Amino acid sequence: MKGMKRSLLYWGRLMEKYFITICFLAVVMCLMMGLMQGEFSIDITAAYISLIGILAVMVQAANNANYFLPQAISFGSTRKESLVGMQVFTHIVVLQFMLITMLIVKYLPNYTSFETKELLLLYSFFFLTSCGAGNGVCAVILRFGKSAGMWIYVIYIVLIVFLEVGSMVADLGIGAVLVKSSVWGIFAAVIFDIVMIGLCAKAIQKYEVRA
Amino acid sequence: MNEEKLICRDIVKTYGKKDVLDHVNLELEKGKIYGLIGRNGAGKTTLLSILSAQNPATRGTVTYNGMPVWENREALDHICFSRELNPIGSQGQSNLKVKEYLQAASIVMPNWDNELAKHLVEKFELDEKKKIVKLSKGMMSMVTIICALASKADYTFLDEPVAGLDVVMREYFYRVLLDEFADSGRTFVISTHIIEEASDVFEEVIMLDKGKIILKENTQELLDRSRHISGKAEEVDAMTAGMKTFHVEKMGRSKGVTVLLEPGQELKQTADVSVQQMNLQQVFVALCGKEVE
Repeated sequence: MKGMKRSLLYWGRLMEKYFITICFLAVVMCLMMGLMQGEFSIDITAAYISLIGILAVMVQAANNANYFLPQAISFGSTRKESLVGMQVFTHIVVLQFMLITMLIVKYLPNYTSFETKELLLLYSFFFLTSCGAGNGVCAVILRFGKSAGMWIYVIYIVLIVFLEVGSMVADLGIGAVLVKSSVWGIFAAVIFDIVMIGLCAKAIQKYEVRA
Repeated sequence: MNEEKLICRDIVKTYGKKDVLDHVNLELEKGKIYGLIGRNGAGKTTLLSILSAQNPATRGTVTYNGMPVWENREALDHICFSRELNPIGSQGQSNLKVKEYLQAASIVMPNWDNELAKHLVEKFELDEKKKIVKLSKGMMSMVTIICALASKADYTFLDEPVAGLDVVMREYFYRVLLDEFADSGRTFVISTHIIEEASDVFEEVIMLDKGKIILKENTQELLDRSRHISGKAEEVDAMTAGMKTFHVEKMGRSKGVTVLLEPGQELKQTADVSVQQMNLQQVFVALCGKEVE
């Protein structure tokens, strides 16, 4: 088996395991919130599910930079193979989160008014920007260390919480307004993700494994 | 055709303004067990990291069989550096179970020997279901040893493999290492602070001091030419006149020095001077330790 294939297998196993764990946690969290509130509020449940998915993408990016990338290189993977494996499966996992969230939201009674295309645009925007931000965090951690990455991470989480929960609870529909208006939002998110992948690649190029 | 060797030429590694490795030149031949010894901060881990392309050198080159090692799949398939596991943190690799960690290693390492890994897990009595973060220091060392030996890499580096292991497990490790060496003819580079215990295993010893290789020599030949001379200062000075002395110790009118005899040099024992053979740890202290006045 060639190096690239081994790298894809390594990242695939790690990321898919992570995806399953997060899905399980999301279900448990939604059930707990429902039990605590005495009813299962569909709005809040939808907000939680998408929020967990988006944050999970970010957390995984930090984990990749802190643990799984150094581990892969120390096992003998090249930086290029690791970058490809990491990016392929980060995006596959993002796609999985996106599809699951979309399916749940699409079939929740309150949201049936949403067209599939609108949902696709909305969640593509959020997940792609999360993926890009995750790659940015990954690049910053690789270049400047954990604490620098954590600051960006915190700022982004605050921003997302404001946008997501705020828009759901106060019915502001910020995300929907952003995306409904045009596909330029998606285009910007794709460009953002590509730029961040580039930064990540640059940071990995001369990355040093530390004890 | 190039002879199978791992060669580093003029390696410099700088962190900030500090040269951690200072123009290191080293050739590692196939089928030998090397001991890499040096004090804390001498640059041992950095050197092993650069040899295995886990870290880039600031200057200089590392080649395997004539090919550059950096980002070269063909070369990296022959090299394994099993790093010490970091117990800090509750996520990531420390949060993996032993089984998962070894599984991840088996995926990335091309020549992984699953049977050997299983056998060693059993012999070390490791609980595969236990998370790495919950293992003792000795058990973490066992995991890194399993990774190194099961990798079946032609050039295998171990950084402090016996740290935290009890004496029984240390003995077992050396036995397994020698068996593997005899069976496969792989090259091992072992960095350790437990020098005396490991000296019988090392065919060659590499001493690193302040980022420079100060000695690379066959262990037995080094021991054969190392002498500790002590006695009256004037007598010791007379006996070692013209020789390079190391680790001079003065106590009143007495003096102790270490010398490495060159071919043809001899020392004659007199009534007032004692000449003693040295072990590897004593030689190391003499060459890398601080002078005592």
